[in-house]
Amino acid sequence: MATQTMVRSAPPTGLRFYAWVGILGLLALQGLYSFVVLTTEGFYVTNLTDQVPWGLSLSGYVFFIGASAGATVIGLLIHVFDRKDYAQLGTRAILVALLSLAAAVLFIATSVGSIARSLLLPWFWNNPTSIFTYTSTTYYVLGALLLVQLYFTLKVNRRTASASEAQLARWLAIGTGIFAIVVIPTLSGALFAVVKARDFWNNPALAPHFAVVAVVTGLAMMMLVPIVAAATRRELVSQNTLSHMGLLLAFFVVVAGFFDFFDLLVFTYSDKLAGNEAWHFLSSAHLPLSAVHVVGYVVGFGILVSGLRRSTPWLAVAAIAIILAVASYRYNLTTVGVSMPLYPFIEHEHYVPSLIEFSVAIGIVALVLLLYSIAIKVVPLEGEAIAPKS
Amino acid sequence: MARNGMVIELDRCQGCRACMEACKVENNTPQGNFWMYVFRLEEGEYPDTKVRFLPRPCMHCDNPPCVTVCPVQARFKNENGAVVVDWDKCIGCHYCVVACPYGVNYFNWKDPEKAYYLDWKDKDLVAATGGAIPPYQNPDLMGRYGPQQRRVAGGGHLKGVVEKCSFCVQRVEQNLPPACVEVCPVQALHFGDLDDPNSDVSKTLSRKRSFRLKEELNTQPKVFYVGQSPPGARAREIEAVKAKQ
Amino acid sequence: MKLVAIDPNLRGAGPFADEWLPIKPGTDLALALALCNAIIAQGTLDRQYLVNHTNAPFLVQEDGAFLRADGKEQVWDEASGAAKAFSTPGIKPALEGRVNAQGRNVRPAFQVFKEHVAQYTPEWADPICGIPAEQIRRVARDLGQNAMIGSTILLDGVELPYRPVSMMFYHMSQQELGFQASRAMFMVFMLLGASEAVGGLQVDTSWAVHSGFNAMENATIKNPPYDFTLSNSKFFPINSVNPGMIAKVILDPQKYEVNKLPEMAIVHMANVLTSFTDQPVMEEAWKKIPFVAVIDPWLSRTADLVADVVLPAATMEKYEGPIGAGDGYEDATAFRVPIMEPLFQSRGEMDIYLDLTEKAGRLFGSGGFLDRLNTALSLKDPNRLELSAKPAVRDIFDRWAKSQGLSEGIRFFETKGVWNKGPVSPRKKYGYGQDPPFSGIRARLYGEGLLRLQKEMQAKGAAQTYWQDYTPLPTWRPPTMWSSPPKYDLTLTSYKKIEFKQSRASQVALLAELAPEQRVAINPATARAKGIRDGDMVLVESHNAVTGQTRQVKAKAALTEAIRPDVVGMPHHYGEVARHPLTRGQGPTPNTLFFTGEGYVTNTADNTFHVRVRIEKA
Repeated sequence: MATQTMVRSAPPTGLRFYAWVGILGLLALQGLYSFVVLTTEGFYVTNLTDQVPWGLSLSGYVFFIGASAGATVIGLLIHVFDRKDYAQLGTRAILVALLSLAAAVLFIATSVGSIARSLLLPWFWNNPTSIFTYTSTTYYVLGALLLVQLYFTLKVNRRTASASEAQLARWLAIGTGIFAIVVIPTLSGALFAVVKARDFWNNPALAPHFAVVAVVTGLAMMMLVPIVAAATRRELVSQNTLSHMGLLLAFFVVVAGFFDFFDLLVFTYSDKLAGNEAWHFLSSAHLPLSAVHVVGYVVGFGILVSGLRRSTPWLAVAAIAIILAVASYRYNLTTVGVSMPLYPFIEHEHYVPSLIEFSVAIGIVALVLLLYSIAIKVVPLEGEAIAPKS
Repeated sequence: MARNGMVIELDRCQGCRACMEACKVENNTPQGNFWMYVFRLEEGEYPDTKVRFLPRPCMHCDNPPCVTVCPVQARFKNENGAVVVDWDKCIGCHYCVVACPYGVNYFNWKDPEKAYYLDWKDKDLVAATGGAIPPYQNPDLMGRYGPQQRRVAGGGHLKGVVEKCSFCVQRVEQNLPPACVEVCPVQALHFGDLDDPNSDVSKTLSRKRSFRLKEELNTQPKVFYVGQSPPGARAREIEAVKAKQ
Repeated sequence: MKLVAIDPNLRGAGPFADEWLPIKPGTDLALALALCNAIIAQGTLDRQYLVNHTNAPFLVQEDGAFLRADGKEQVWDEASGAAKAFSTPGIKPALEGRVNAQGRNVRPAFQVFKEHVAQYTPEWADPICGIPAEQIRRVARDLGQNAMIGSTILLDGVELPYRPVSMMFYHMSQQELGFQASRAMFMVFMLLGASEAVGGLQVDTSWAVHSGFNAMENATIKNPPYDFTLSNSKFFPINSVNPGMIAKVILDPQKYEVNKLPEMAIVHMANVLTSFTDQPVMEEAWKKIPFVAVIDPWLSRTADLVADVVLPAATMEKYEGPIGAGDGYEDATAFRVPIMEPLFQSRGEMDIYLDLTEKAGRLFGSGGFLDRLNTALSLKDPNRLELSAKPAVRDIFDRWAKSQGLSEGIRFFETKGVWNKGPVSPRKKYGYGQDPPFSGIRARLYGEGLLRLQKEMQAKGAAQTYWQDYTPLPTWRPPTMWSSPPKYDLTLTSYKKIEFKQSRASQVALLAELAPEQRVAINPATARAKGIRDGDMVLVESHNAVTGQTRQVKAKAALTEAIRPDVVGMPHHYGEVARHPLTRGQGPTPNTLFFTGEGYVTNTADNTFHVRVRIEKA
């Protein structure tokens, strides 16, 4: 039975919203300022070195590209697995995917030594031996796909789409989902995995690992979306759907966790030099984050498979725990991978991001949150389809 | 059309680091960047201590991972087998830094004006040197080399660009050996065409056992070490040279 | 060739050595005596050399003086069973035994030496030097076997003794017992007959009898008042003239019976207030010199603190020479020629001195600077300098080059660089190659002159610290620094880094980048026991066992297994060597911790670079 929907005007824009947007705006501005400092002064304002050339910014890119790819799973759930109860999340998912992609690109822009040059150069098909060529090409493709998909999906939501346009929107959702989850993370993973010099990454399992973590990130973020929406009196999905989402997320967390365990076995027992070094980092300077990684997954999983998943606040906790776990994983992966000394006789370098790096990262996250907050306020994404709150 | 490589006699090297300085002066590298680096290593415990030295230029691999990964093809192998960086093209993504197993890449972290220890804009200094930064600026570094006429000699050390040992492409052009080879006080460094059986490097290699670093990674490095076995697993670096920020 | 490194710190040639003897600082004398003991015990002696070219056979009386007749030292002729003058032809002088001659109980000096070193076994030296007795014996065996005593080699048609064993001990004299330690080490090679033999130990690249050799026999101690250098004084009758001691004299002239102190000093390319020990004492003394002029390329610390006038000097942009460029086998001369005009306001020192002497009215005429240049540079007619015309610097050296036989003059060096003069003849190089060998002198195994000086010093009332090491044979005693309280459980040594030259390079940005700051080298076991990790800031405190003074500096620790656990090392080159932005924060010089003066100089006033210290995490 089709859900009866009612047009209901959105609640008036309150002080809370302006305060939220104001704070995000300030955070984005401070990020912009730091970015200007980074660009004009040079990378010495970061704590990166020639031994640790990739740090917080690059971890941010990896996290958000996974989020972007993973958010498109919603489209697959709706159109392939016929879960119409996810329908209201569909457009938001595209938006989240787009903004995450934008965040990823911004993080790349803040990792590159000469942004001006990178803008001038074509990013596709420059060097077929470099995975960078493939990843950057696919990001352009993903962006294009998402934009087109968004256009047609909005048309569908406003019931201004023709039958063929609706079909196109549907096929785009499926195509983008498959492309995003299968191609994007595997290539992004390959970026790291092909590097023989960094034992920690040089593992073919990194590609499917990235794909799974991408879905975990996407699902966790998409789980927060309706929870936050409900808190502002827009109910996008039912409690059952949220529960279902939680179980799905739990499943992927287990798979991701298992991939982590696989990694652990490989670098501990394959007798690679990386083994001892990895333990050294993960158990010392990176221990807090390693703990967040493990505990985040465990706590998240625990909540999601227990009765607690019926409670929205607990679901939010689980989602946040899992997002933090993934963020820690991404950061550890990137930084521990490069931190490991290239020769057994040189001393370990312990990278901690500088204030500028934190500032830029916070700025980018604030910016995409800001754009999201404004977008959902200004653009009626779901059309007029709002379930009545009872 | 040579296949230039280096042979380093570890039993001669005394770790004086004159090669590091010569490279720095010839290639005008900024603070903290040592295209040629010399490890000073210790092994064992007192009184069975062993001290040894390991010069480390770029390996100029025949299968260079940095060339494979460069997204903009700023890295390539030139006509003499040297792996060089076109500093006009590099976007500073650090992928080559990440992909190199030998850690020979150096990033330009600052504007050249700030990257040379002292205030090179001092009035008296500027009057004496004509405002060159650094004051001992080597004009050959700005040139274009090779059949493709690319700017591969290190040049302006622009902020945000990655650089590394070029086997002194500007010197090889004039049939001179790299600066490090020239300056070594004990002639521990040899440079030449590995494909020429009569070259100094080929003859040394045919006489002595050699090893290369990280051969198992199949990078096919062209820097060969003779005279000592590879550093042991328990070797430790002492007196590391780091940039002063 | 087997190489043995004797050093508390495995540095320099050390890493290339086949064997490392990690000696405790200040005990080289003990090691040398033990080597002498072992060499005598194993019988590897070049008796021919000892009998014919040293004073080893000279008969020594019970009071330590040689037995003489008609002014000639006597030896015991085994052939005739009687005492004869040493220069008597056809005799067979004994090296050992106790005999009675001229009614006196006498022994050959070698016998005295043999009995003297009998107590100095390797087992005795082991705990003192911190080197296992077996290792000392092994080195002695290696020396004995490889000395090839009795063998000869034909070089350029000249047959000379072949003794391919040698030692390099430059600067080993700079420890409290350094004078006697150097003698003792030399004596090791005298026993093997390797002095001035092919492959053996040489003092210089070619043979010459030092101008002071004969004068040593008649060295006298003057009566006070003494010159401020204390030359020929009862304090230091043999005197290497140490500015550290001069500083002590300036601060307490009465103690040293000096009543005329320097009124002015020119410090030329030296940074005395950084490069000499007992830095606070040096600074205090130099501030008392009424007028100081400094000639230096940088505003050195010395110039900054005490100069009344600074004359900027060129470094490479000048003529300087001649500079010996030979290696002992090929003779060569080099000459520094300017690569460009002097930078900024600097000038070459020859220009400076020509102007200075001119202004002081001492350039022209007999006895003036030009006259002395004629002599110093051995200028020959028609290239001698005219004593009434002020020459250009290039002209002076052009005349020198022409006087040397180079018809193109200094242009030779400007175009060709090095003047390779060809191989050094063995007849010029080796003492053995002279005619007669060693120019007829006898090396002094036994230092009778030292005993004589000791007695005179005692007679003139010098304190024991000055005369105690003027012994005819090297005699071990514990160094004064070992009387510091036990909490000063480490010995500080210093060394030079290859990156820098003395105190004139750490402000050069390119070099400083390689070694930007001071580091205290500590053995990891010692560091662990004191809770110190690599890179930690440590406090180093030294103690003067004579005055009780203490000094402190702070620097970062660098852990290394290449140093003895009871030793710490700090390189020179630092200590705010010049007023220059780069030198700030580079850290201290060990010269702040070292002392000078009694207990911290040798009996010949040479300075010690050892002191007892303690370390703690700062």
